[in-house]
Amino acid sequence: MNSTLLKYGSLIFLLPFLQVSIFNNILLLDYINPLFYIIFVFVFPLSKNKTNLLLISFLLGICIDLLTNDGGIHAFSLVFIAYIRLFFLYVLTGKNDSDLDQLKISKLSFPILFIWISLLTFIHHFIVFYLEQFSLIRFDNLLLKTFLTSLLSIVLIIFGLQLFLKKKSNA
Amino acid sequence: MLQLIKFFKNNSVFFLFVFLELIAFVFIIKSHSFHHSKYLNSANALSGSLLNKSNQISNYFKLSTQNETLAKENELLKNKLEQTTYNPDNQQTNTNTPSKYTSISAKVISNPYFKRNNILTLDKGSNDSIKPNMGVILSNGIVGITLKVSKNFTTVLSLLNSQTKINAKMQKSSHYGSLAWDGNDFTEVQLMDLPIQANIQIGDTIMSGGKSVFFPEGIPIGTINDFSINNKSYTSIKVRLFADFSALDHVYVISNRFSEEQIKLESESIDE
Repeated sequence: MNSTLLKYGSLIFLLPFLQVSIFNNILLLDYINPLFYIIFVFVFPLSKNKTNLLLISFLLGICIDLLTNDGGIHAFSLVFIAYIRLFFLYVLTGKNDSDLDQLKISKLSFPILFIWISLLTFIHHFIVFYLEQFSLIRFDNLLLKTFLTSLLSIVLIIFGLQLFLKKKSNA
Repeated sequence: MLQLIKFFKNNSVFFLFVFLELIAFVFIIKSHSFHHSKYLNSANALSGSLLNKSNQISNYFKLSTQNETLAKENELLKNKLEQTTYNPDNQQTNTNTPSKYTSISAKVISNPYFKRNNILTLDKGSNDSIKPNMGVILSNGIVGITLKVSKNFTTVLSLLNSQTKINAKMQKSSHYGSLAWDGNDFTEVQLMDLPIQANIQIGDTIMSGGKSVFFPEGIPIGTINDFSINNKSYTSIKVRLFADFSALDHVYVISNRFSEEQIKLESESIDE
């Protein structure tokens, strides 16, 4: 358990670095900027005890906030999707707490994985952009920005996930 | 009592969740009142050096445009120099008194102009005598006001931020208004509180007004692009900026020798 904690804890440093040095330089149409770091919530091993996941998510979010001057926006939204991710997976697969041992992210079928990631990414991005402007004026703009940015993030996250899971199965 | 403890134990993850969200929310609220946000900003050594490194990499791709801007600025300054040397009218200006403003050049290392609330990071800090509440400008526009300063880095409250309001005036008449950004388009800001007597037209130039302590008077900002009149007052005057906020690079931090004195005097006068 400690070694997995160490392994995923090190992502606190790796993901902000990747986000700032690579993904913040990707800018389509001058405002679509993918938020890749949330891949953390999709690679952290599924477990009934959410304490570790919540704590590391919070720290990761704070690191991103530090680098982007966003107060606590990323910490807030990342902890939120970290808390609800298991619930969404249960709904999608029709399983519950007792089947958790059989559930592995690498064993999920692609459609379920895709829908799971898309839903959580969309929710996360919506919270981030809502908190950024802190009002519901121009709601259509907010939705459009959320939708377009989510599309890009989802594609990148699924690519990243393939790399990550492949590496894990080789090791 | 035992049941209470059991209740907390059973729901401990939920309480942890609520607790973390509350902390994050407090940080968000604090960041909205900028002058109190002491905790999370990128003017610290670790964040600053990471942003600096990542900027160095992407810098190579921007070199040619940067050269062009600097060359243009050089040309402008040379022209000005020649005018002052050969123009006999200008001899009355007293060159012995040092100027009220001095400028420090710095580089922008983080510029997320796609956000609603922009905060820039510069690669210089208190080691280069930058302090909070100094103006940041370009040769063709206003960038913002410095917020937090560490030894080697500074964060800047950009003009493209819901918290920023900057005093501005018309070039042709001296009517004042204030500039703010509605978050839509980073090439356009809105001019507000301009009296109807200003009689504006599309294409008029807007400059920085002398009323704020942060900026010297008369820096060109942009031209009026569109406006409408409602009930004998202007609504939504759009100003197209001269400066390209998507390509900020070399900027100048303006230090006003008398800013502290002026702010102190003004606040004392209000108190009385």
